[in-house]
Parts: sequence; C-alpha cells; structure tokens
Amino acid sequence: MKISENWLREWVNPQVSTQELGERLTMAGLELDGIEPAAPDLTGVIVAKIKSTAPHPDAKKLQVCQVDVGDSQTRQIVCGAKNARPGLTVALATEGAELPGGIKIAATKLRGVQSFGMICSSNELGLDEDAEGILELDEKLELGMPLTVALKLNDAVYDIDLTPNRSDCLSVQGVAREVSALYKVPVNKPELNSYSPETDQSFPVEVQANRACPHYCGRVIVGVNANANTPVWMKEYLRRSGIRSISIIVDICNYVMLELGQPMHAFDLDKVSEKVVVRMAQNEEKLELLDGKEVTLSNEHLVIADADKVLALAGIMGGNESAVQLDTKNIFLESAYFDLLAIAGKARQFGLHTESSHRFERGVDPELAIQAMERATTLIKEFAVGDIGPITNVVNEDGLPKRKAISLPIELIQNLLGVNIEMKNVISMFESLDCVVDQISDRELTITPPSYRFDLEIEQDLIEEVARLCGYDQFPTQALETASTIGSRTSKSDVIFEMQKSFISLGYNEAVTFSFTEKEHCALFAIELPKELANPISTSLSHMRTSLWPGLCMAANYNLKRQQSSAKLFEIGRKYLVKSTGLEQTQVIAGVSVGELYPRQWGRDVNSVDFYDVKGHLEQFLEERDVLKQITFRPSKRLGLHPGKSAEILFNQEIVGILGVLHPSTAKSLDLANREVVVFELDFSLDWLIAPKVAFKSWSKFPQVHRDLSILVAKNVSVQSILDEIYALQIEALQDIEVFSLYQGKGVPEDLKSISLGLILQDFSSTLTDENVEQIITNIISLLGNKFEAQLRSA
Amino acid sequence: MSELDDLLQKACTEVDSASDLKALDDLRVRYLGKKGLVTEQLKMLGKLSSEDRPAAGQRINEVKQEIQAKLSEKSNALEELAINEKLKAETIDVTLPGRTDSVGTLHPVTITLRRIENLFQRHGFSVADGPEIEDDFHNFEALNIPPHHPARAMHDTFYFDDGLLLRTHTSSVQIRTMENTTPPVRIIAPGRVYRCDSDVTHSPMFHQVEGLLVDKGVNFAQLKGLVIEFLHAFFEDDQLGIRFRPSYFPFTEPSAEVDIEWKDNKGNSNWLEVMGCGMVHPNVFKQVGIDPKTYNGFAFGLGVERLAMLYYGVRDLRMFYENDLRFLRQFVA
Repeated sequence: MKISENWLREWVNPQVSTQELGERLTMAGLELDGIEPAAPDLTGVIVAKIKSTAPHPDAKKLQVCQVDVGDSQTRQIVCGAKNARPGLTVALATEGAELPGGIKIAATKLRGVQSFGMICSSNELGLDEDAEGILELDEKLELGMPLTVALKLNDAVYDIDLTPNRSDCLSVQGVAREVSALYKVPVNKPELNSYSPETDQSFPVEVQANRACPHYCGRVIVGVNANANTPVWMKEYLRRSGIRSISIIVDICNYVMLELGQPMHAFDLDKVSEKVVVRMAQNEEKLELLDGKEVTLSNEHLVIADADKVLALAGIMGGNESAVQLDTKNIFLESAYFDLLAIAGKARQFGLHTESSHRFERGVDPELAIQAMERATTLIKEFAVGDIGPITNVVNEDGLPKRKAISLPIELIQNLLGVNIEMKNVISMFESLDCVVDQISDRELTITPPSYRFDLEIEQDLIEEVARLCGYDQFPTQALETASTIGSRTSKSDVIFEMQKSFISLGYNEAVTFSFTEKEHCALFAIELPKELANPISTSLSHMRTSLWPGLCMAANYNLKRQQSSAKLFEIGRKYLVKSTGLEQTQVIAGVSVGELYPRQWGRDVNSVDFYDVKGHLEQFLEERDVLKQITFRPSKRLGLHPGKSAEILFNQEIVGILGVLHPSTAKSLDLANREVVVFELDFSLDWLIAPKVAFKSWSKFPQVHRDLSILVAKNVSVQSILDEIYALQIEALQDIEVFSLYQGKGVPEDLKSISLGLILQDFSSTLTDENVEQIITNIISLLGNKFEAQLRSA
Repeated sequence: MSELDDLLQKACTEVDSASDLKALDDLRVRYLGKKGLVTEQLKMLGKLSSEDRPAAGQRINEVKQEIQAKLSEKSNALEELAINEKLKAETIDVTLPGRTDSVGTLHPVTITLRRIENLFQRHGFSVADGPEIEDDFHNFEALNIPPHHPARAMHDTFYFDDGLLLRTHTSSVQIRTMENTTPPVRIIAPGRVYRCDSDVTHSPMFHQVEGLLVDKGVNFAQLKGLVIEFLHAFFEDDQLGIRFRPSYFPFTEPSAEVDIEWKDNKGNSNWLEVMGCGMVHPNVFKQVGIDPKTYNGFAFGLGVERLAMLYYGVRDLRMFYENDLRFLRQFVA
C-alpha cells in the first residue's frame, strides 16, 4: 500500500524524520518496501496562466501562447496540446529547467516561431504516465510559484507491504492510529459533519442477504455536478496512493476509502429501478463490470441489484450500466459492511483484485460505514454540489462482527516471550491501541480490542501486540536447552549425502532440474500419463516429470552446446507416476553421461563414454554401498532406451534401477542426436541402499590358486548366464571369477566370442591339491560345454 | 720385500683405472684369486726361514687387505656411478600433468542444505521429509490457513485438477511430523517447494528448510537465541547484524521475519530478509491433537537459495537451475 507522508502527517505528526518514521513502521510489523519521492525534481517549473493563444503560422497542430508568470512581461510559448486555451492555469517549464525525461528547456524556435519554455503535461512532469494534454491547474494558484510548492510535491511516498492480518492499516487513518500508538502522539481526525437532509428524497433498500451484508447504508444526493473538476490536492493524494483520477464522484469515493478505509460505491440513481436489493445472485445471472468484462454469477456471489437486474458485484466492483457518468445528475451513495467470508476468494474467481475486494476480504471496520458516508457527503457537497438526502440504514446487529473480550494472564507473556513486562506498561500499550482494558487482578487483564482489529482473537495475538510495541529487538535471547535425545541414528539424509559424495568422486556434477517439464518429455520414458498442473507457468513446465532423464539430458545438451567436451550429471529427486494404485512420488538418483570419458590429457586415448563405463561407475557406487554382491544386471527393453544396450538392475531379484543408452530417436527428441548418451536411474525409496551393518568374517589361511580359462561361446550368450551357471555348481572352493578378457575378431569364428575367466580357488580347511583343482576345472569345462557348447580355446 | 710393494703399487694403479665392475672383478681374480699374484706370494712363504716367515706372512696379509679395501672402495664408487647413470637416464618431466579423472561437484543447494542440517543437528534436530505433491489440509488448513484466507493469495499455488497441489512451503512437513509423533519434537524439513511465479528473483521451484521444536516451556527468547546462533554460524560471522521484525504467518503467533545486515558493493548497509519464524499457533496444535496448554513450540523457515546466494555471492537465482558446468564446477567443497 502506498501512502503519502504529508497526508499521514496531517493526521499524526511525530517529530521524527521521514526515514526514521519508515524504519519504526517496519519494526512494528508494517514492513516498508521503499520510500519514494512523490515527484521528481521540478526546479524551474512554475505556475503560469495562458493569456491568449494564436494559431502557428506554419504548423496546424501548434498554437502560439502568451503566458503570464506573475511578473510584468508575458512570455511566448509554442504549444502543441489541444487543451491549451486562454485562461488556463498551467505548469510552465522555464529556460534552464530539466524535466524528468532528461529534456532540457532552452529558448528555441519551433517552425520559425520563438518559444521561451514548455507548457507541460503530467507525463512530461513525471507525475502521470497516461495523461493526455497539458496539466490543468487550479486557477487560484499564485502565478510564478514553483510547481513543487503549489502542488506540495515535497512529499515522500511510503510503500508499505502490509501483512493480510492488518486490514486495519489499509488507510491513512489506520496507519495514523499505529503511528500514534508507537510514538504516543495524538491523532488529528478531521471533523465529520452530520448532514441534516436537504431533500427528503430517499431510495428503498432491501437487504435480503443480511448475513453477508449485516450493515448497508445508502444516501441519495440529487443534482450533483458529476463533471466538476477534482481538486488538484485530491488528485495528488490519489496519485501518490497509486490510484488514477476518474471523475469527481469516483475520486471522492476512492479518497474516502484511502483516508478512512471504507470502500464506497456511487450508482447513477436514474439507472436504478425501484429499489436497491442486496442479495445473493441467481445462477447464470450476468453482469457487465466497470472494466467492460461480463461475468456469469452464481448463488455464492453477493450482489447489489435493483428490481430488475444486478447492478454491482458487492464489495468487489460496480457494474457498467449503473456507473456514474460525467452527465449523471442524481446519485445513490453506498457505504456498507460486507462479511469477509461473503467476499473472500470471489474476486479471484473472476480474475479480479480490486482495492475494495482487497479490503473487504481482510476485514473493514464494521463501525465505519456511517462515518465514511458523512465524510464523502461533505466532499461531494463541497466539490460536486447537490442536495443531500437522509441516510437509509439497514442493520442486522447479529451479523456484525463483535470483538470479544480476551483474558490475558500476565504470566503468559513471560511464558511465551521469555521476558517479564510490568503490568502498568502492558495496560498502557493496550490503551494506546484503543483497546478497552479491565484489570481483573494484579495478575490478569481482560482486553477488548477495537472494532477494526480483526486480528486480535486469542491471548497469543495480544502477546504479539506487546512484543510488537516493545520491539522484538528489545527481547533477550535464551540458550536452547540441549535435546534429551541424540536424534535419529540412521538418518536418511546422511545416506543421501554419502551417495552424493560417491557420485562426485566418480566425476559427476550434481544438477538440480525442475520437477515439471513439457508433456512430450514425460512420454519419452513412461507409458503412464503424467500429472498435469492446472495452472502451469508455461507449457514447457506443465507436467510433473515421470523421469529425471529429460531434465538431465537437457542440462547435458545445454553444456555440450557451450563447448564442454563432456557432461556427467546426476540428480537426486522425485519422479511422479500416476499408477492404478495411486500417485507415486518416488525418490530416485538419476544420471546422464555423454561425451569424453576423461578430460583430454596426454598418455590417455580420447574415448567417448559408453555403456560399460557407466556400468562401472554404478558398480563402484554399489560396492561403496556394500550391496554389489546382491546386484544383477539383465537385458531389458525400456521405452526410450536402445533395445540392445539397456539393462535392468536387480537387487535380490527385485528391479531397483535401470541403465542404458538412449534410443537414437529419443536422443534426437532431446536434441542429442548422433550421440551415445548413457543414462541411469536407481530407486532408493526403499532402504536397499542403506548399507547393512558390517559383520566381520575371517579369511582362509591356505594359499589361493588362480586358474585362467579362455572359452569360445556363441555371441549371444551373456556373461552373466555363464557366471550364474558356474556359481550354480556351488563349488565351495570357488571364491571369485574375474572376467578379464573379451575378444571377437581375427582367429575367432565370426559367430563366436572368446571370453577369459580368471577363477580364484581357495579352501578353508586345507591347501588345495592339484587333483582338487583339476577336478574343479574339469567340472566347469564340462558344464560350459553342455550348457553353452563352449569350447576351450587353446592358448 | 720391494717386490711386494711393487705388487701393491701396481694393483692400486690398476684398480684405480678400472672402468667397470667386470674389470674390477678381473683384477680381484688376478691378485687375490686362488692363483692370484698375492696368493702366489703366500704360497712362497714356505721357502722362507722360520724366523722370516711370520713377518713376511704378516706383510703379505696386509697387502692383501689393502688391495681388498681398494677393490671394495672402487666397487662402491663404480656402483654408485652406475646407479647415478641409471637414475639420470630414467629422469622424467615431473611437471607434466598427472593422469586424472574429472572430479565432480555437489550442487550449491546441496552444500548449503547440508551445512544447515549439520548446524541444526548439533542441537538435536532430526531431518524429516514429506511429499511434494500435497493435499490442501497439510499445506494450508492444518496450518491455520482456511479456504479463501488472504494468505493463500500470497502463495501463488500450483494446483492439480484433483484438488492436490504442489506444496508451497515445507511447513506441511510440520503437520505430517506432529501427526505421527508425540512431543518433544525437534525436526528440520528440507526440500523442494513450488510457487507459481517466475522472474529474476523468483523461481517456480526452490528449496526451503522448515524447523519445528515442540516441548514444554518453549519461548520466543529461545527461538531468537537459536536463530541468531544459526545465522552467525552459517555466515561464519559472529558480528553479523541481525534484526527481528514483527510479521504475519497464520501458523505462528507471534510471528517474526529475520533480516541480516548486508553490505552492498558500495559499502552501504542493507537489511535483507532471510528467515521467517514464530511461536506455533494454538490452532495448529489443535489440528494435530497436541494440547496447547501443555506444550508450545516454535517454527522457522528459510529459503535455501537465498542463503546460498548471500553466502557465495551469486546474483542471479536462475543460475541454480541452469546446471551450467561453469557454475556447478565452482562449488568444489
């Protein structure tokens, strides 16, 4: 909310600087976003009057004006504005002045005619971006006076970021009350006239929805001059509050709202049929709003209607048809209390957020309606004339919010804040906040907040007020007592951190990619339909990811396009799958590796990463987690992956991950065509990656025997199946099998491959004899011959 | 006996001029071998009279030892020379770079989260977790934010058609934790959160850490003490200016925002908001079945990227999600 310092100081004027006052508001919970000058530096811009105008001899659109600046001589100014006319009081930028846009004013010739300055528009003065024509000033202003003085532009605008609980501060009056409490200086409230009717003309008001609208106050004013000019000071205060001047009646309604906090609305009485009805809308009823937009209503919307039609969306926005126009003669002025819940969320349904809805949603002082009505009446009487009718007041007392008395045991303050505050200080604080304070005992108060403090409901709310007025910085700090427990012992976050560390030691950089992506990306790796956001920020971030790979591949691609020779990235995060059993938000660790295996260096060949490099990375990782022995890889055909280069990763026969090379067409969709892109994913939502506790085992004291076997088998025989078969023999002495060579090519028949196995044999109870070893080797060879038609390859 | 002296003299000269170990070995054989010149002399001792024999024998032995010493001295010298030559031949350019694999890096958000977790773990806080796709109850209602509460408008929530939403804060984990445990509670909940907002200073996805302590006799002064202690430790600056401002969160009362004093390039001090915190609102306790008359507590929340930006001097929030290796590789520890 923007608020003019001058305006605020008319209400309450503590003797502190602009900066200090702003600082104090911030520290009281009215956070300041900034302090801006109300206007730019306008030195050299003065008040002047156009005495006469004449057409420019050589330019149709220009006029040659003779301008009076209050001294003996007139000045000649060439001006292009349509509204330049004799008798108009204007803002003149004199020679030497520099305008906000950087325009330097000097005597010059415009199409051959001398001009000694420039008559300015609000736009050129930096006061209003959208203004048309030159600024028209109050004719009573003294000529020659600096504009800054004439318009009281030496002002600052506080931009306050009000929290939603402080609706009471959404006005000059509200902030003034707060300042008064903080500085203990009185508020100078403008006196409110109470008008005795000048006409007995009134208009019937029928409140059907008296829960949603417990107080409706209306008044007829006849014979107004809706075309009157809004006084410059009012325009200025509106402008400084960020509100555009529209017309005198609308401006006054807005002014009163800014000043007192009561949103108001004026209807063109002649457009209202028979009566004003406050009711819930009927389903499918339509209304064209002031901004020209048509909305379709339902029975949850509170409206102001007449006998025939809906006139306005109550508390949110008026309708176009009944709006006050410049030729409006008679008006019906509305000042009402609408219940928070009747308004809350409704504006948003129509994509609206208005000054009025903003206030009603948060709570407007239920005791303000009449005061605001009288204040607006005074201003209309002064600036737009008219005859004042009596106030029509419809009140449902039961529906109006009442501030209930809250009991506050004084020790609670100490308990919650950790500081002791004297009773008399507490009393004085609440009195300065206009609360009714009853001292029940020397240990307990009863406090009744004023009608506008919707936020004070329970004792904690009161304690916050105490804290706020003392200033949070005044409180002591206390050391936290040590926790009595050690906290969780095996923390999942520790395990995750260890895993992250493992991957960085494997040369991977950790990435963080968005959890949402485009729909097409979700379909690359998952058959399940992705979960779609109802209100995405863009179509490229519209669906919850079903895999981390698209994001990681995009990041890899981003880097390859920026001259990186490789990208090895991993990420820990969730993927989101809508399954028949429900939504799954599975935590996975996923990675991508593409480009050169090692940084380019002497003594090492340049190789591109392939399947086995990444498989090795995973095996090393799994070994670090001490789970590699329970892991097997088996060929798989996964959507999006190369059907011959992808494997499921199984932990004790359960799929826990996947490793593979991107399918060429998938790579192409991810802008990584013609690249060998290796990706992996490990699901760790289950606890399998939490390494089991190490149980010490002793080892054999007898010597190991190493035997190498080279065999020829058909190309399509997987090494895993060979190993599985050998292990299935359950040879007690077989400790390990190393696969140390794989060969295809010269010397090996076309459809075969040569595999070399290193067998490590060792017995726990004795030294293996040659006969033992030979027996084992013979058994293995005959097994492989039977199962795989393997031939022993002669060395 | 001059013959023996000549022999010694000659042997010494020949040993001196031997150029390698082979030549040296030849000399040893020639002088000291079974048929060597010195051995020959010994054999001739028998021809001497018994009076002369001991002195002559002693003398021959002396010559033998001298030649032996000379030989081994020369042998050592030659061996050293040979080693030196071998070493010289084997010398490599030690300034050539070593063979390396690339070393990866943790994301700065991870490092920052880890630092935060570590600091709070010292005070006995455990790390808690919760879902990112949340329901309205845990993200809003249970946190004292009923439907149409104006605070919802500040959250710019991402919704799904089925009414679920992307959590707007990790405060939802407070509720899930309190639903499933009994006080005392000391947790921090790090994680991704989402707001429907994107510009230079806002990202639709970012990270928060929520903290919650529930126990008997917890007060605001303790919250203040903990927050100050944490910020001093996090920024490694015990003089860091910190201020607490009243603010509003529906789930805490009183509520505060925490600013730290930060110097810009020109040395001007600014207050930058880094955390929100407050005493848990009784309505929140009621939602999760904790008696607010017996227990109270405090909660705090902080933006991880915000802290990381300040700590590392990163200016542009978007860099955290671009995954540019030139950015990622800077965070080596």
